[in-house]
Amino acid sequence: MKLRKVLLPEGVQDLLIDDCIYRRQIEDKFMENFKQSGYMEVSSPALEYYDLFSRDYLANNGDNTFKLIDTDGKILVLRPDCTVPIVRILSTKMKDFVFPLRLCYVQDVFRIDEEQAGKKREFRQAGVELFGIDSYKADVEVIIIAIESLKHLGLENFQIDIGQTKLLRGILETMGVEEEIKQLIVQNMEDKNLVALNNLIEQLSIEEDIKSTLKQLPKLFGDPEEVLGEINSLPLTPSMKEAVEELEMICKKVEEYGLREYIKLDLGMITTLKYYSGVIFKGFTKDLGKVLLSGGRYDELLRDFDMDIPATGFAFSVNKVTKALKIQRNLEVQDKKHILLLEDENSGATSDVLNALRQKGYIAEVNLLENKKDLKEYIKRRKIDEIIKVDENANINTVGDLEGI
Amino acid sequence: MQKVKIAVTKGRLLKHTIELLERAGIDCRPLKEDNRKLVFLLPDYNIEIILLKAADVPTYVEHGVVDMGIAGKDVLLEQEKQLYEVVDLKFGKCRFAVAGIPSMKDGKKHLVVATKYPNVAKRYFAQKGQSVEIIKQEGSVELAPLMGLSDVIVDIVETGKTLKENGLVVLEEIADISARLILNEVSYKTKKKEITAIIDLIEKAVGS
Repeated sequence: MKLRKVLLPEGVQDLLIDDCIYRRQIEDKFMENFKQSGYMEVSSPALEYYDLFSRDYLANNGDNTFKLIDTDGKILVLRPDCTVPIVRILSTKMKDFVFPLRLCYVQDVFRIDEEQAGKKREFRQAGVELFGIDSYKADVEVIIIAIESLKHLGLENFQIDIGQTKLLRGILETMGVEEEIKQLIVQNMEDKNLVALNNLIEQLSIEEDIKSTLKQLPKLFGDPEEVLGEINSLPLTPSMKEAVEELEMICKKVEEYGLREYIKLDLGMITTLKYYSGVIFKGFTKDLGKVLLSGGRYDELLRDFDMDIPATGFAFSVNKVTKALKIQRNLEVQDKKHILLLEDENSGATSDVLNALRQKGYIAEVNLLENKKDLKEYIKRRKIDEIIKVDENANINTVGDLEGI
Repeated sequence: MQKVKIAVTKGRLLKHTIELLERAGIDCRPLKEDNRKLVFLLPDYNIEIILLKAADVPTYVEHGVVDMGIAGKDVLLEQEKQLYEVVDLKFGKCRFAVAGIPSMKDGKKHLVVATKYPNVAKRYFAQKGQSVEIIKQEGSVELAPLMGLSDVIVDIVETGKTLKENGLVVLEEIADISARLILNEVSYKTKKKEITAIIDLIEKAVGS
């Protein structure tokens, strides 16, 4: 019991000094990119009604939300996701806004993850949502923002993989098998459990053409040109062709922005999250085996809020991006000159001096220690760059030797 | 060529793994040297092999500190980690089964189950709609029903010899088990060329 007074629960952490600087630096740069592209910040509360997230397609989150009971017995949750609350805001407070509506945020999300799996249960997300445009150009816009934001942070070796949920959906539509089997195919495709997937497909009584396309799909990822070439050589239905064309247009447009080197295609990228309804994407770097960002089109979610508004967006995992930058050693605390002012009983000019120094961008603090030994220790440990003193005539003198004080 | 890191399960599976890799044409001599090293470099394909306990292989792969791993399906079923399972390596074959003394066949309303695989047991009985109490064990699970700790056990069964010697029989089969090649979801994308090459070699060796 005593330990609980000093230890932290699983999956949460304190950030000390440098880590706070990094976080602010990274989030500021994200926000700068979002806002420069016309996105407006919104913020939703950490507490929401459980019902908001209880829809079956969110069940994924529903079971691992932190729940609280309100005084009137209603169930509350700590926000497990940022997009759903923003859609709630849109449906209740911003319906009459002019579209396209561009919103952005940086917020904590809370999820119950397996304890001791080294996973965070409280983590930061920074993201954008673009409402009201159903053209692929909206998808391109958010993909470009993801790329530009990571470039702005100085992240190297990263790639955005783009997938298309309409493709698998197009294949499944034509198949006369039970819904349960289709779900199993989607699940195994998402997990890239090729062993189970191949076994499952072999047992189905469907055309050989479809079988081979289904088996090929998880392997169709990599350079856009190659992948598009391979998929176009497979027998495609008209709806699948349309889905592929959308990807082609997206790649072409990203190329026009001169960012081709950052994108890859992954036609086997699937998400069991049903609210995604078109192009989806994820970002990685080879230096960290974790997903840095994910997003896509989610028109279906808005339909559930009785809105016929197309939507696309993505979120960065700030913690993962920070980790990747640290691994690449691309994070630095800007070193400011640190000045310590020794106060003089006779001098009244202290505040002017401090203001002048701070305006120059230095860190200026006043000495509060009386004891010379403590002061010396403090100067050494805090790596003070310069010690100054102000005399009666408001002249600033550098103190070279502490012994003389 | 980028280095590919592979986590391999120590012990029983290691021998089979080495055989497989050699059949795939990858020189494994460094692995066979009798020493206490845990990290080995196979210069042929720029592969680094890391030896781990079975239960740790999926963890290393999920976190992306290694790119690939070779682990038993038993461990994968128990842990349900987020990773890709791409090849059935066809060795280390056994099965998950419910076992107990022969008279347990008649069934009981509430079963006490001893197992090293609580998640597998929980899922299996939940899906059957059978009410159970699970007691987690670390080893010699066969003892539990004999000593009266549990009604039945859920464990991996290879030949059934251990069960037989302890007077137990297989009551129900749960799932077939074999070793699998698993991948980190990001590595598969960012080191596609290297990893695909290794998968192809291994797939061919499995087939031969």
